Amino acid sequence: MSARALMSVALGAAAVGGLAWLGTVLSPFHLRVGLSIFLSAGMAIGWYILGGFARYYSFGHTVFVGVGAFAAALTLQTWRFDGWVLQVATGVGAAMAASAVLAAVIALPILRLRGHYFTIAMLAVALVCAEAASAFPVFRGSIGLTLPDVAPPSVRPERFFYWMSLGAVTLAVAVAALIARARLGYGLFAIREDEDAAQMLGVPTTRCKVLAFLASGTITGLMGALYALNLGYITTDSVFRGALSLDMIVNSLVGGMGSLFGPLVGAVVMTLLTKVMLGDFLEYHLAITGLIVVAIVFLAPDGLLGLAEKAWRRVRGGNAGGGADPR
Amino acid sequence: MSAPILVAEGITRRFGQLAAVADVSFAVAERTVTSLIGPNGAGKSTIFNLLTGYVPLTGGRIAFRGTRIDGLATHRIARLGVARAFQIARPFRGLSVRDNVKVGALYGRDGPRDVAAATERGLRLAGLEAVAERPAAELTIGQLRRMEVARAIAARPDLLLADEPLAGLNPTESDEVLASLRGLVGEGMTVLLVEHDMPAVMKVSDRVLVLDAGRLIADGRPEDVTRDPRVIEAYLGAEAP
Repeated sequence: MSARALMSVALGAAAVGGLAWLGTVLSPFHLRVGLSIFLSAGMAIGWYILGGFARYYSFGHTVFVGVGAFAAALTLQTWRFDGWVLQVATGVGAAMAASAVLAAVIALPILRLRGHYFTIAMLAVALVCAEAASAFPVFRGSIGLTLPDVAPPSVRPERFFYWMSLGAVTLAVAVAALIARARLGYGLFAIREDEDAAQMLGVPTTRCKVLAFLASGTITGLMGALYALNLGYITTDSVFRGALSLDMIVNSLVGGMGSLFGPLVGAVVMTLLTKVMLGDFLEYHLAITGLIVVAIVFLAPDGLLGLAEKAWRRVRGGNAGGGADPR
Repeated sequence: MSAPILVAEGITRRFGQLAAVADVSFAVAERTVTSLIGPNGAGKSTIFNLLTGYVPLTGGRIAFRGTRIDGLATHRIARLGVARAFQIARPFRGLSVRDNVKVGALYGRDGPRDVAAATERGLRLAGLEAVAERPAAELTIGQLRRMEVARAIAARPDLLLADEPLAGLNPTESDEVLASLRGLVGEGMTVLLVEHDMPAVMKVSDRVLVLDAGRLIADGRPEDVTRDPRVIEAYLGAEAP
């Protein structure tokens, strides 16, 4: 491992440790804010593994949140275990497995499509799955499903889910960072830049996209399970929400598509802005999100991190460093 | 002459009524520079597209080291050891020069072995060490062309398909690229070259194939080909003595 990689791991571990400690001192309200940020960031990272690395924009990634949430709810209703460890492991495991299976089944047909066609096809997949969750009585999507309270009695639920979702987002970032440094990551970056040229250099483009899609879907499904466990009660409308797909994309765009920090920064900024500062104007939430997206596209096409980098270069005078970081 | 590394038999590609390449057969000997020349529209780039599997054949067969490769996916042909440097450079603009070359090394013939060494070798042979950390988007045309070659070299191919590597270069840069192509042959590689610069072709090639309107009209040593009356008529025309 290089010195730089070791440094990143150490800084990351320190950040996670600090956030975990914050979980012991924050008020319930702030714990809920943290929890929202983590869930949002985890989903955005999941989306970014395909959307950011390969620039294959999925407009239907909420399908994995939904499938993960339903898989967790249905398994926990069928098998009632005692003890939070077993309950969480069952729910989360089922969610990840179901998302991985769904991703595997749709990957080959859907990843033969490029660009806008893939984007639209994912939108259709999400709509079809949402309809299925509502229409087939076995899923009980229109009536709703109750999830057991998995938090141990000794820990406040918001604190428990704060830590759980911090753990999940840490896992998501670790997986994404490993992919970015691995051979697969370089394959995905090559696809992002020029898919035909990548193929001619020997990059097995379909296999790369399928693997990224599997990782992306599984991580998003994991976040879906935690989302559902935290809500305690889900319906089709609450977990197969177009707004969730939109949030994953918006968080990545707002933060910046240049590195893994983009979706993280975006999730922090957008959650604070739309859920906390504008908490009293919930009915305008989507309108405000839309305005922010428009503003970002015009004023900061490379996201907040891109803007910060430009400012930093100006301060440092000209092209400081200048290396292109594909991550 | 050593054994042929590539054999094309009666390869044909039709686009509707038009035969872009019609019943062309040739063999490329190992460790040589073979040039494919011909007027614009003669089918040179189409032949490269056929050899790399980017465009499927409508007739004929292609064997690489005795194995049929027609019908294989592009990336599989690349993994067998056929690399292509594009006529118009197709850099991964958002990546650094080093990472561009690294993609070639990671997905090249032997898979991800000695990636760092293969990357450095590509950068060194193409003379790009000084700009290795720069984003590819900032390179000049000449540097981009060299990066194409570096990327292809890093893939450790047995056969390099170089599509007009000299176009747009000044004489000094051209000589550098020609020298590096000969250097690659010295290291055991085989080069199939498409090039318009006739003096360069005559200087660097062991063998020359001449295409006209999708058909092969001459195949031989450079000095013989230039004396072939059909070649003079079809291609060299006014320039012939």
